[in-house]
Amino acid sequence: MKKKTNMLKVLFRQLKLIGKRRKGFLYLVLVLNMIAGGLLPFLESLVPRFVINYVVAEADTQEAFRAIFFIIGTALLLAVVVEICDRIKFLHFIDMRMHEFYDLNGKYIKINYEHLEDPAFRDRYQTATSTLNNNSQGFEGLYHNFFALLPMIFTAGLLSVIIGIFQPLVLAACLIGGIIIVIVNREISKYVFKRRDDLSRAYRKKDYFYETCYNFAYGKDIRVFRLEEKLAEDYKRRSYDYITVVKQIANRRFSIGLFELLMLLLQDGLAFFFVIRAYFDQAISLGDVSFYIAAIIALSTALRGISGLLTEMNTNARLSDDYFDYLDDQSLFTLQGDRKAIPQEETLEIEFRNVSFKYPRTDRYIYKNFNFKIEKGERLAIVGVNGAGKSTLIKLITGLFPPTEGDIFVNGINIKEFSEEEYRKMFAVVFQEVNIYATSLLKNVIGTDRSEAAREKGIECLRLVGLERKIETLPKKYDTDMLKVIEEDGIELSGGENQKIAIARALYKGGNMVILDEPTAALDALAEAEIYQNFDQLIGGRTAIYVSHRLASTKFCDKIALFGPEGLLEYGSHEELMRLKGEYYNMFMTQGKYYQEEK
Amino acid sequence: MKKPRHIFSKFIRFAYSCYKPYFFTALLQAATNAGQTIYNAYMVSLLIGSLEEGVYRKALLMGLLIVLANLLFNFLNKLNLRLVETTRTKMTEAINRRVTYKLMKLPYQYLEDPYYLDLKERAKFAIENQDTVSRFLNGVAEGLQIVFTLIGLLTIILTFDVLLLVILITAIILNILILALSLNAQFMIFRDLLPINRKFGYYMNTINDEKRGKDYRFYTVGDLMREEFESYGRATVRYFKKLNKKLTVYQILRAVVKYLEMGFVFGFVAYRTITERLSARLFSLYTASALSFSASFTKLIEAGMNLGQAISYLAPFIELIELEEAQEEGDIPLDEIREIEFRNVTFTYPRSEQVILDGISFKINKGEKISIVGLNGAGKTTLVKLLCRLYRPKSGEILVNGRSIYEYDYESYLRQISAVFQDFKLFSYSLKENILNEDGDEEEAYKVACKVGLKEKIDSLPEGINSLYSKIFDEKGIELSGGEAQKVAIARALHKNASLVILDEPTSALDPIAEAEIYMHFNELVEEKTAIYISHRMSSSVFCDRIIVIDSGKISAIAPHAELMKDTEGLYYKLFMTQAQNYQE
Repeated sequence: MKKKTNMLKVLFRQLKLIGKRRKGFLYLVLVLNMIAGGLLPFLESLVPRFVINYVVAEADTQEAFRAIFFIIGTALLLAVVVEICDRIKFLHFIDMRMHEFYDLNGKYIKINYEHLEDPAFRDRYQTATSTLNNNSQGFEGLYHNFFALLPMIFTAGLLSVIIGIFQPLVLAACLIGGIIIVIVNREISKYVFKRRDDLSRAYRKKDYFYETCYNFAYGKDIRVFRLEEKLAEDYKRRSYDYITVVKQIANRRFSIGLFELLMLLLQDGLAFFFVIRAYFDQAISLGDVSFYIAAIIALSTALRGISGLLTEMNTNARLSDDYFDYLDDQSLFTLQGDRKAIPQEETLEIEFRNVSFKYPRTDRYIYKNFNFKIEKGERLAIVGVNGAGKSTLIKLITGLFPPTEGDIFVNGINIKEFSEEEYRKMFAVVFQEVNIYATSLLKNVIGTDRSEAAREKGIECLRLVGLERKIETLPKKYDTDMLKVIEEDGIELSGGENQKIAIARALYKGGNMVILDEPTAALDALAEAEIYQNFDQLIGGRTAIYVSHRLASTKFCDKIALFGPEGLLEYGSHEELMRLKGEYYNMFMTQGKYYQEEK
Repeated sequence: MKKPRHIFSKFIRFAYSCYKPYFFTALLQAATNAGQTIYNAYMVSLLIGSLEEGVYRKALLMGLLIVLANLLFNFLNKLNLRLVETTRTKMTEAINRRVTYKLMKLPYQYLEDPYYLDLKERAKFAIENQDTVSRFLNGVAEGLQIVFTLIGLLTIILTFDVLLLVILITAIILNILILALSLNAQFMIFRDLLPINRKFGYYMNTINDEKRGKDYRFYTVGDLMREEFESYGRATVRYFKKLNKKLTVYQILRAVVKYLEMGFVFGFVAYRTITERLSARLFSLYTASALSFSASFTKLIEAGMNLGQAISYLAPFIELIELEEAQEEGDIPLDEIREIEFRNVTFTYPRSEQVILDGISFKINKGEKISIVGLNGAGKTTLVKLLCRLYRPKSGEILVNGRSIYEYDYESYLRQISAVFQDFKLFSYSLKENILNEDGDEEEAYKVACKVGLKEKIDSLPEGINSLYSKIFDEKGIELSGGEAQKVAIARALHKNASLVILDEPTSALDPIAEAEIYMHFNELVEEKTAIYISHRMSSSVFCDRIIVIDSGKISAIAPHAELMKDTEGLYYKLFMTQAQNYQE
């Protein structure tokens, strides 16, 4: 159950952040804006007061002009101050938000990997970071709200005093009115909050169709299977469901809002009555009448504004609260050991001792009391049907998930002793999903390294995977930008070429051990063979694990581990397993059948 | 770059055709709000007037009337808000539905064209990131309202003195001058804000993409993205800082004009009132009207700027909706594909120089199982797209049953083709609906699913074949592995019962046993249908009747497997042996 957000606490924390980011001058700006902005509405309603009195008293124009000049002049000065304050805060609040982003991203990369595969965490992270997504809501929004709130409070205070002195009952009516507005807004917020799950669900369901149609990748299937009408119909239905919820919320907002009108009646009624009576009692002048009416309207406006802002601030604070909770959450990291990585020249031997593993929040054990050893310099192929636990094994070896029970040893050292960062330095992995990043081709391989030596090494790696010819045809060669989203003249390469870049990335990293997960799925026969040929060069003397469906690759490996749904089924060299005439033999013969028939 | 006027009128007409009622509610709201503003200008002067008359009773009555009028206006206000909230949503939804329908009907070639892909992204982003449709509609509604207000106030002001109007107009002219000066800076923000936001979106989405999480833990690309993001962020803030300074100057100038104007208005009206001994009521009325007029005009300028900004964001959107829907020619119904012939077909992708298919000619007869092989990028998938009428050949003809495929009615033509593409997509419907493409018979779907080896998987699911695919709609939705999804796609293609089945790399995600099952039962699965099979797995071409080998856009050979293997210099032999070697004992 979500805890209640204390808006003041969140606000206070964000205000303290200003100091932490060395923007202390913003505090001064806040105060200046409060005073200048607070006085302005007050001043503007003063002018008619003086002039009308002069008119009634039949004074001369000189005095009227003097009053006007003086008041307007002051107002202008204040307005300039407000303008400057506004401009300053605009820039710096954005900057504050950006700095949160930088911190957030830094932290995200360090959290335990298991959270990334947990949908609950992903939702929580989405919510937490949505507070940083734009200028007008959430984290930055709260600052803007507060900035606008202070002058309103100042104005309201000032006017309250003045009106209170004139006629306390009128002030009371205004304040009650203000309270009623707060209550009305709160009831509306509560209702909106109650429906927000319905709303977001309805939104998600209709948004699916929106996104799917906009996603051109669906275009072929939509056309060939003639799905246009079906998708349009279903979209329409979901769209109407969404509109229904919106309508219900709008209706509630309207009906609750009617209470505001009652308050308006009371407030206006009292105000006009007392002002009129005071005039006839000779207590106030005609000019004062104009002034007080304007003041009461201004106070009512200010109170309404304050109430509206407070509601917004509550919403924004709630978002920021989620965000701060996430930032403060230390449970997302497990502090591991601090041992440094084994020097790169020494390759690895991996040993599983009585390892049991199931994914968090599931019941099914993928491995139970699993014992297994990979020797130094061994080339191991991991094969097996889908869902057999091949990629889980990789995640365990690379330390992405800790074993539920048992231990994993690397060169005799328990992997828990290593610091996570150091541990991962030892592995060069090529994953199944190839990700290319919107930066230069070379940087996609060498990452943050900048030296001349790094560049040369990166270029060499790209050559080794067979991309040299393609790259030579590009205008900026190795510095060509990838993807079009950041640089409009960036390029997109084919699936096979991208896979080669991923392999080059692993090559460049080096590492004590190499892991390849289906690295040639998108390559044609010849390109695939090229990779196999350079296999030796790619791996050198290091321990290597090769995960694949394609049993052909297993011929390059020393040992093969065949996994089934129950765990490790067969283990041995290719020759041994073929002699066994078990599962592996079956799979090999099946896959190779059509190649054999040729003979 | 389209002219703003064109974009404006085009979008208005488009929105109007999507959902008319919105415009009526907007009109109503404009009229009510204008009325309220004008009334507010009158209000205080009415009271002062009755006080000047000096009759207590009458003054109280006037007060009461004013209070009730206020109540009425506020009530109407709330009513309008209620109406607008729903009609605006209905409008946005209608627009979205119309656009997405259009996107589904676009000629396919746009969908693979980088220009249109980018256009689509820009259009979509502008709408979402800047809430452009709302901004546009608001701009128009506000503009309308202000025009009503200005007309009303003008009639009041003119009854006083033209000179007053002169003061106001002078201020307006000055404001417009200042605006024109600042426009350059403003425009730069408009123009650059969207691409900046898009790039931000890219960095944020990429850095926070959990699917890339593995990459980030093993490589420094994650740190690279963060670094580039930070430097991009800093550059952006610096950029805004420069613009900011300029804008501050303009804002201050505007404040000066505003207060000078206020001074002149008060001064002038005061002068006339005092020297001519006019009533305080008139003073109140004219100053209130004049200042309200001035404030409204400022709002008009702002609404105009908002509208202008929205219009500039809408440019890609308008370009998108102005694209012509695919005009599918042909009206002869097709009952069955008995023969397919490519006659000297040449094809280049739009905006590209590279010839993908160069004078391709071949014939496929009914019931034949054809395999198409070649290197990556050789044109295999392109051939399929041409057959599916997704693209037109540059030259040459494609014939089915002796007729050009473009002579056949589009719907009935496609009914005879069934395909599993390399990058196939499933939809967030139940498995049953994904297979049947409609809400049909469960049994039928189950039968086909079993044929492709999905029986075990489906039986293991609590909802069986009615399980919802993907978690987007429902947390109870299921995820499928790559191989399972591929089987569903194959089931979908088979169920369609078209006379031509096209399978493009349909077993790439399947493990050897599952793949072998498909191969073994291939003939059973496809029955007498004509089939085209594309795969990197050379072993699959063995069970096909003939193989078409494509090399550098040309057909280098068409023959059964045994015959092709006799040519030891040929591409086919090379490809086959490269893979076969791995399975030699």
